[in-house]
Amino acid sequence: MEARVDFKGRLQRSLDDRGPASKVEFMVTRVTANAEAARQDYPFTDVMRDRSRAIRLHTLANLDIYLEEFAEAAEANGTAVFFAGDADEANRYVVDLAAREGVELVVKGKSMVTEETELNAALQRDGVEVVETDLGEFIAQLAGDTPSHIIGPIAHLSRQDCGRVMSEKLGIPYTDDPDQLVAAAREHLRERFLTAGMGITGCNLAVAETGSIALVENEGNGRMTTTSPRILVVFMGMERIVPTFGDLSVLLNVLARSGTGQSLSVYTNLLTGPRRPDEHDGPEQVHVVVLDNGRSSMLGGDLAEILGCIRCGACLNICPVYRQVGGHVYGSVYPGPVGSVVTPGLWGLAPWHDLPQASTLCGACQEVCPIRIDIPRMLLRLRERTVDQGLAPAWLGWSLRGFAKAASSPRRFASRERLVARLGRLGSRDGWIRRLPGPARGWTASRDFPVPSRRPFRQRWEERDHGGA
Amino acid sequence: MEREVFLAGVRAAQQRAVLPSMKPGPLYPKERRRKTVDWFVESATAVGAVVHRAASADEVRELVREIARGTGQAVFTAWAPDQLPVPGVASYLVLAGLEEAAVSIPADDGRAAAVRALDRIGVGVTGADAAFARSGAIALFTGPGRPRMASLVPEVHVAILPEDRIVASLSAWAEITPSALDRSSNLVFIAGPSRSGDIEMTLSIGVHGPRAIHIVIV
Amino acid sequence: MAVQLFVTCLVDALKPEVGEATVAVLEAAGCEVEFPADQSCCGQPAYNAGFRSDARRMARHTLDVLDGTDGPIVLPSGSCTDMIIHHYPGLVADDPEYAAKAERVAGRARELTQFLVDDLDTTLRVDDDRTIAYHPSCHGLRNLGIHAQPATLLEGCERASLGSEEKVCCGFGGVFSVKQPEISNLMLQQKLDAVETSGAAVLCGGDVGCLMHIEGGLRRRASAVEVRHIAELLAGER
Repeated sequence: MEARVDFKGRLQRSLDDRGPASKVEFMVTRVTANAEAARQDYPFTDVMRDRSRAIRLHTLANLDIYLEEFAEAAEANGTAVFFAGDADEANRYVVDLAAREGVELVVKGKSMVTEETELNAALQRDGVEVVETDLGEFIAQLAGDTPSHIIGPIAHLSRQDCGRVMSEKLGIPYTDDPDQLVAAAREHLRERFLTAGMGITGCNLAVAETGSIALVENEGNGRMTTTSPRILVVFMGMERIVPTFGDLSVLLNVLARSGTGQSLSVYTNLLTGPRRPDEHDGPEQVHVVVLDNGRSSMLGGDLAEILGCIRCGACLNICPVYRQVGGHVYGSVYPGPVGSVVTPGLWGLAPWHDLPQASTLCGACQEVCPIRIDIPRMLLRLRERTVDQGLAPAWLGWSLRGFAKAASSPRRFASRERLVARLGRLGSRDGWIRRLPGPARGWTASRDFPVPSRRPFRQRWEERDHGGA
Repeated sequence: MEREVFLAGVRAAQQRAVLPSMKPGPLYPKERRRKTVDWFVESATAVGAVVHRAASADEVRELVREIARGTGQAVFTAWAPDQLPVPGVASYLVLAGLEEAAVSIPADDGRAAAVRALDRIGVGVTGADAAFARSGAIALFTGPGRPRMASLVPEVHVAILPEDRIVASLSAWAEITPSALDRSSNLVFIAGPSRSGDIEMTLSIGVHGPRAIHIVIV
Repeated sequence: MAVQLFVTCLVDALKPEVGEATVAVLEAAGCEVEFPADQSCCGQPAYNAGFRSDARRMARHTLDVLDGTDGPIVLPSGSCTDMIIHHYPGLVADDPEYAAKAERVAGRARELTQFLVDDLDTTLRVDDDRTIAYHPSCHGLRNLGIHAQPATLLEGCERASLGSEEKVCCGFGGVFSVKQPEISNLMLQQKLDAVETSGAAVLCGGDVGCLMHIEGGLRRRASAVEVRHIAELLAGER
C-alpha cells in the first residue's frame, strides 16, 4: 500500500464536512451499546476473554508450529497451501491461478487482507472481473469509494448516497429504502455468485489441527462465495490461526459479541477442504494463501501482541477519536486503535507516525478488546520510536527537554514557575487567557487557558509553614 | 516463497517477540442447568427464526407442508430421506403440489447449468445436527444427501430439529464434539435469517441467504 | 498518620487552591501532611509524548525526592498516580538502584479518593446543595479502578449523570490537547454537551488536566456550570 502521508489534510476534510463522520458516529454508538449489552448478558465474558487472550498469545509464541500443522492437515484434506512472503507474491499466485483455470469472474467475500495486498487491482489488470459481495463493500465498490470501518464499510454513507449509487450503476429506479436496495443487490449478486469461476474470501480464524477455515458473516455472501464457484481462494494473515476446534469455540464466544453484540453471527461457516467425492456441492479446489507481508517483523518485537487481534471492530467502535473523525482520516486499510499500531507496523513509521499520535491513550480500546490487547502500550512504544527516529516536531522536543531539565532541579523549577506566573498575567482576563502563542495556540482556538497562579502551591505551603502569608 | 523459508522467518521472529503473560481460563465454561428446549426457542425467536414444536412425525410433515405452501414457492429441495430426522417429508410436499429439485453439482461441463438452475429453488428442507440454546443457532454438516445449498440458496429454509440435539451452547457442544471439523468439508452454524445493517444501520432481512428460517422441533 | 503530598505540577502552577483543599481534606481526615519541597513533575507528559529519556530524568528526580520519605504518598490526580505506579518501574528498570526505589515508591503511591475511601474509610463527605456531575478521568478509571470512591464521597449530594458520555474521554490527553487540538476539541464538545444536558450546576473530577480543559471549554460557551476538583468540594469550597 502506498504511503499516504497527509494526515492533516485528511483530518481537515473530515472537519470541513462533518457528514460522513457523524454517520460513522451514529453507527458506532449503536453498535457499542449492543456490544456492551451482550457483554453484560453473557455470564462468561471475562473468563472467555482471559482464555481467548491465552490462546492467541500462546499461538503467536508458537506460530511456526501451528502454521506447519495447519499446512500438513490442510494438504491432507485436499487444500492447496501457499506461503506468500509479501503482497506481490500473494497476488501473483491468485492471478496465475485464475489465468490457468480460465477464470473470468471472481466473487469476493469481505477480506481486509486482500485490500492490504490490493488483490482486486492485480486481478483487474489481468482482465478478470472482481465483484465485492458484502453489501457494504459492494456499494463502496460501485461508488468507487473505500471502506471506512472494518465491520461496517459504508458507515459513512447515507441511504440516499446508497440509493444514488445503485440507481446509477445498476440502472434501477432510484430508491433510498434499504429493503428495496438490499433486494436489488440480492438479485444482481445472485447471478454473479452462480456464474463466477472463483470465489475469494478472507479468514476469520484458521484451525491448525484440521486445516480448517472459519468465516463469520450475517449476509450469506460468504457462504455463497465458498459454495458456488468451482475454485475457492482463502487469503489469510499468517497470525489468524488457533490450535484446535475447542480453541475456536472460545474465540467464537467473544468475536461476534465484541463486534456487534450478537451471540453468534448469522452464519459461522467452517470449511475443511474442497468438496468430498460423496458430497453434492462446494468448491472442487480450495487454496489457502498464508500471508506474511511484514507480520513476522511485527512478531519479532514489542508490537507482537497486536497480532492477537481477531478483527472484531470493538476498538474502533469505542474509540472516542475514531468516533469523531471516522475511518478515512487514518488513510489506511486498517483504521482506529488497532490500525494505529498495525499500519506503522506493516508499512513503517516514517509515513505513518501520525496515527499513533491520534489518541489520548484513554484505554477504552483495551477495555473492550476480547483479547485484552494492550494497545496503549504499543501506541506509546511507537511514539517513543517516532521521537528516536527524529520524526517528532522540534518545538515539542525542545519544550519537553527544557521542562525536564528544569523539573530535575528544584531551584530552577521554582524560579521558572515564578517567571511563568509573572508572564501569565500579561494578556489575561479574569484569571483566564484567551490566546496562547506559538504551538500552544491550538488550545485557545477552542478553550480558555487558566492564568498561572501568582502564588503557586509550593509558595503557599512555605508561607503556611512559616506562619501565614 | 518456500515454506521452510517462510516458517524459518516466523521462527526467528518468535524468539524476539514481546508477548505479555497470560492468565488462562476454562476452555469450556460450566453452564447452569436450564430447560434447554425453552431457552433455545426463546433465543432462536430473538434472532428472527420462526420456531414450531411438533409432537410426532405426522405433525412435522404437516407443519413443513403448511410452511412450504405458505411461501407460495413452487420448487423445493430437501436432504435425502435417510438424512432427515423424519421420513416421508419430501414425498408429502410433492403430494401437496410442489416440485422437488435435487441439488447435485457435477464437476464437469454440466456444472454451470446445474448451478444456474439452483435459483429456481424456493424452499430448502434440511435436518439439524445440533442446536445451541444460548445463541439460537442450529448446526448443519454437509455430506452425502446433504447439499450445502439446501440451506443457502432458497428464500425459505426449513430445518427439522430433534429435541434431543439441543444443547446449552456452542461451548457445550464443542466439548462433546471435539472432532466436528473432520466429519465433512463443511459445517455451518445458522442463527436466524440472512441480514445486513450496512445501510445506515437499518436492519434488512434476506440479503444473500434465506429470508426466513423455520425450525421445526420434534 | 503522616502522609507525603505529591501535589503535581499542574496543581502547583495552575490550580494551587486544589492543593490547599487537598491538604485541608487530608488534615480533616486525621493525617499529618508533609510536602517534600523538591518535588516538581512526575514526567507523564513527556512519557506519553514518547520522550522516554526526558521522562526518565524526571522520574529519577521524583524517586529521589519521594524515596527518602515515609508513609503513604497521596496525589490529587489519577493520571500522575498511574504514572508512578504502573510506568515508573519499567522506566527505570535497567538501573537496579532506581528500580528498587520505584518499587518502594510505587507501593506507597495513592490517588486521593482511593486513599480517603479505601484506605482511611473516611466519614468525610461532600456537603453541597448543588447538583453535581462527576467526570472520571481515564487513567484513574481504567488503570487504577477509581469510580466507586468518588461516588462514595459524593453520596448525599444531588447527582446529575453524564449518561453514556460519562466514561468517554474528554479529549485532554496531555500534550495531545495542543498537538491534535482539532480532535481534542471535537471530543471536548461531546463532553460539554453531556455536561450541559445533565442539568448539573457543578462538574467535579479528580484530575486538574481534564478539569481545566473542560472548564476552558465551558467558559467559551459562557456556561454557568462550575468546575471543581473533588478535593475542593470536600473542603467545603464553593
